[in-house]
Amino acid sequence: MILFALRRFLGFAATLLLAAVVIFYLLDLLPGDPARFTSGITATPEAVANLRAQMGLDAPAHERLLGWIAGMLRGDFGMSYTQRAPVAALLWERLAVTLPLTVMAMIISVVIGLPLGIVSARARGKAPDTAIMVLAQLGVAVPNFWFGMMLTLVFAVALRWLPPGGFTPRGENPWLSLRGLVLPSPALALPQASILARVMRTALVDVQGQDFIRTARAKGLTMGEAVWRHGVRNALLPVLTILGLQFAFLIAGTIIVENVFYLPGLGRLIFTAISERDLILVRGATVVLIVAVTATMFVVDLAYALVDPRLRERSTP
Amino acid sequence: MRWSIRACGSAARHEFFKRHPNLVIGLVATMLFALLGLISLVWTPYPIAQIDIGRRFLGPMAAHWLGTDNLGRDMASLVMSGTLTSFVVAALAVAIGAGIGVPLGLAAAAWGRPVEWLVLRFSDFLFAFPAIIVAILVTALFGPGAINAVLAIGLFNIPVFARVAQGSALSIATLDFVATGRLAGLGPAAIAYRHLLPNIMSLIIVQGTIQLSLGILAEAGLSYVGLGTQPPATSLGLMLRDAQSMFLIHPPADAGAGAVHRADRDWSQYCRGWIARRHRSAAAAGECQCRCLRSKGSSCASAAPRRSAM
Amino acid sequence: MRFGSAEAVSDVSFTLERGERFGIIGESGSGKTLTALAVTGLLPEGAVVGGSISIDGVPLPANEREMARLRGKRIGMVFQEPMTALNPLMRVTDQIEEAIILNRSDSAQLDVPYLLKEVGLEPRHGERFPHQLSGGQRQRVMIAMALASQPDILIADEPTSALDLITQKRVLDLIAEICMRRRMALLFISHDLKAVGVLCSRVAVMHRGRLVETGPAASVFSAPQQDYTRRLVAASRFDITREDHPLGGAPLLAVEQVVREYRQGGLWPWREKPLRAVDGVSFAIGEGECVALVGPSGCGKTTLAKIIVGLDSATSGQMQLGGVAYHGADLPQEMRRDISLVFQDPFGSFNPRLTIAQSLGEPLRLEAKLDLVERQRRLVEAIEAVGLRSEMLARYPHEFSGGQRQRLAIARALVTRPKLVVLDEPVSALDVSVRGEVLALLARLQAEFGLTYLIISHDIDMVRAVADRVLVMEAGRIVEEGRPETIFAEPQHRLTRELMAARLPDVA
Repeated sequence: MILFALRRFLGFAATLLLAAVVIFYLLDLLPGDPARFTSGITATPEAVANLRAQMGLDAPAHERLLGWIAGMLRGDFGMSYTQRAPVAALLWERLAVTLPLTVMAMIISVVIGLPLGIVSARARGKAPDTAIMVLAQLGVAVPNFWFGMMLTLVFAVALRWLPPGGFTPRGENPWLSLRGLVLPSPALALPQASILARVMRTALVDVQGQDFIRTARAKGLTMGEAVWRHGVRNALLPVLTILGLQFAFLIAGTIIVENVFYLPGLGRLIFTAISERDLILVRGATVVLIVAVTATMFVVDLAYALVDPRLRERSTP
Repeated sequence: MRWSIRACGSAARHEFFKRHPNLVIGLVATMLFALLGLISLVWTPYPIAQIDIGRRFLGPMAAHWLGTDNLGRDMASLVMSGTLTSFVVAALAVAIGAGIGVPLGLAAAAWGRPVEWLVLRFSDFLFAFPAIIVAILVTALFGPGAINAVLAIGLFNIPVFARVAQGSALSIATLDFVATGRLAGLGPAAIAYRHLLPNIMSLIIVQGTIQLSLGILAEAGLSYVGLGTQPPATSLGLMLRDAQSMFLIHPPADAGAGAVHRADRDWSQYCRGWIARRHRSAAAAGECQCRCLRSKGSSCASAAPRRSAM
Repeated sequence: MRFGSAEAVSDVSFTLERGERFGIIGESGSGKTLTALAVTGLLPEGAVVGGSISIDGVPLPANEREMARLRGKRIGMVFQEPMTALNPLMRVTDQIEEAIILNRSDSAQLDVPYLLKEVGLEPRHGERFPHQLSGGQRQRVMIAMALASQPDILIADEPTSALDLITQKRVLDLIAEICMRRRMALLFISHDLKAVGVLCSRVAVMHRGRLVETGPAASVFSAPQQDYTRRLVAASRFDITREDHPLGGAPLLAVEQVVREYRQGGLWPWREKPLRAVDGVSFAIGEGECVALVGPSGCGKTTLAKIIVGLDSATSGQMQLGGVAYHGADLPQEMRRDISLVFQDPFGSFNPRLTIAQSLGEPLRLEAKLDLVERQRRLVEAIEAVGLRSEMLARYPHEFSGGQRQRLAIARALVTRPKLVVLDEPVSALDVSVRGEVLALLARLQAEFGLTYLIISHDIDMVRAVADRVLVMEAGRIVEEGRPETIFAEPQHRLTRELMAARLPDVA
């Protein structure tokens, strides 16, 4: 098991490293000189050259790459030249919005999706199944940002129960800042919950036909008991995989949904950075996103191995 | 203990379309929207770029079936043209994903070990980049545009198709007819083309419809945040973006574009569900047959399905 | 009983006395498994059942929970598939424990160690997950679970057909012994007349969903009343099918010190001792000879076959075919047409998307300069040689039965007019009634085309009927060799003796 975890971790680290390299060189190809951009149109060539040296831009690309990676390992992501602040601090501030939103959406989608999937699988072909699957169909079909707009229209514009957008930083009033997430997180969670319900249903229906369920019933369990005791855990394997991928989708979704609700999250930071051609900031933000996605997949892999003894085995002879 | 089993009534096979009314509805709806999109190539009620501030925010009427937007553009024309853009972007992205991903997956299955390792690591790596991140990078490089959306979504589709192709081809590659093919002197490429590809085609098509529907959504998302289609061209996502900026004043504009969206996706979803179900039952039946007939203790521990869907 | 519009089982009636051992015999698709599932209320969804089933005169309850509890208490079940019948995520102990807890009764309580011991497993096996056990061990776990509730009836559905000969014998003995000791009634379901003959005192024969014949085992087997039963009994014996053919020709294939090692994974692969699947095997096959390679599952016989036909390569050692040396996959292209292979599983050996003509014609790529007419002639020749009609060439594989597909597989093997045909378990996946036909076909083809056979099998009786010479293989080595009459009459090696002892006696 330890060996398995170690191997997975190596893979995880390698993916990150490679991703960092790719991002660095992609953005390095970019036309435009950050030093000139920062110092303004009126700056003299000498001043620009000075700034270049100061920003370390005159060093060869691979040296700057190494410096950047080494910096990130220490938690130093460089300075944003438009915001004139450390990138790490900017990212941290924004993550305080994006992460809670993502996690809340994840929890909501699991809490709604899995039980619905189980109910649906148990009632296969009957009315509850049809109803849930129609709902799930709609849920996947609706773009999350459109659903977010509808929520705003109903609860913020028409009913005026909740703020239509914006976010109060946590330090001031935790209750208020949570209020800001009440509309965005279900908007994000809806399509994911629908997908989870479908996957859970399919997996459980598959498992119900397996021989070991028949064995469990032969022991004296009813179908329902057999599915509950033996089926659900086996059906969770494919669900777990999807759950890992969903986190990636959720993060992507967050970036979009933040725009609907005017939340000062990572997504809005990135868009500002792009429009201002603040490449150091874009670079840092993409790396953080990729770390989040890959780390989730790494955790899912470990969880998978914890649930499934066959997997642990394969890499430890 | 005494018992017997006796025959009871029979269930006749119904006609295919009668059994799947939803399929018909979805099919018709999709055809309709595809047709609308295609017509927009040659004809729209009004040119979509025609701005007429004097006629803004009109409700549905004879001259403008769906009314006009904040710039006085005809909504019906925008919907037609936007549908086409959404379809085309998603379809091109599927073509990129399948065109690169499927050969990669097949190569992994046909050549084995080292190639397999490479392809799997490569797709793992691409999985780390959600479409939005790719779009961000591409936009940072080249500026926003519909091409970026195609590229970003297409890139994201590659590992999805590679995984599906590799996983399903692997289960085919262990079958005896592949071994007879190798005995007959077929190389890996010929094996992949002749024996593997035809047998995984149905799964690829299913995945294609899933990715098409996801692609329409993703394009909408990208255009909505300004990374995709740019004015004066339009797409459903872009219309939602325009709509949101003023939906406090004029809600119908928003609901309309969303509804169009939903119908497109419904059909794809339905289609995918249906094909997947058929495929599964056929596969299950085949497996049962083999299992019953296999009288030797074959000790292949079945690998748990991993990351095949989505 | 019906599924949709297809009637699966109809009008089946029988009684099972307390402590009686009753067998149901039938080929695949005869409805025997469905019958067993009906008894226990485990039928798949969509099955419509008519008629009644009762235990001790009381009809089975309609309520699902009551039925489940009754099933747990009174009936123990062992299924065919030891691979998939256990929950892969749960330790064996927990799975047995569950059966005990579910069926608590006032009488003496069993515990897991006792049950493990009763089925011949050690306590340490209980700590394992199902995938860490062999097929035979898993089947023992199944039996332990079935015994946990101290049932009155044990239903065993093909419990041994996925096991090799020696394991099969052990499991059958175990079932017999436990039924005797506990005075349990046994409902034993199998396609294998010999296994039923060993275990059961009364038998029923099923065919196409109906009971054809019922009676005491001895009389059904020795004096079958129905045609179908007669055919089954006849087919269960392998008659000597060898036709006269010249022996002792020049050596065609020589295998010299072939070794195949598999590197095991691990963090430091070079530190692990490689697994030797084939360990220094040497033998020769003369032209026109029929040599059989027998051994238990996992002994390396299939690996060896793959190396010989060129699907795999030897780690060291070499083969010579007609004087040309090769190591496996490096078999020269122009020699490949001289060797062909027939697989065990007739369902996996044809690409469902190709017509029979396309599949059969595939090996003809190996022969350059074959025009369309000649090519078509060869296909027709091959398909007619195996007793099928040439118009079948245009059909697809799913249109054929298992026996027909095996004939087609043989036709494909013959289409290049090879010298050596390697047959991997050629009949073990087929129904009993068609095995004889396929073996007879093989014998006829051998005489007709002067073929040389290498047959890979674990079935001693089949080998005895067809082979000129037998090689016995264990753990990658050949441990005994000789003519079938002598080797089976006076087995020298321990394994050969075990194999002989595990043979089930012929019925009647």
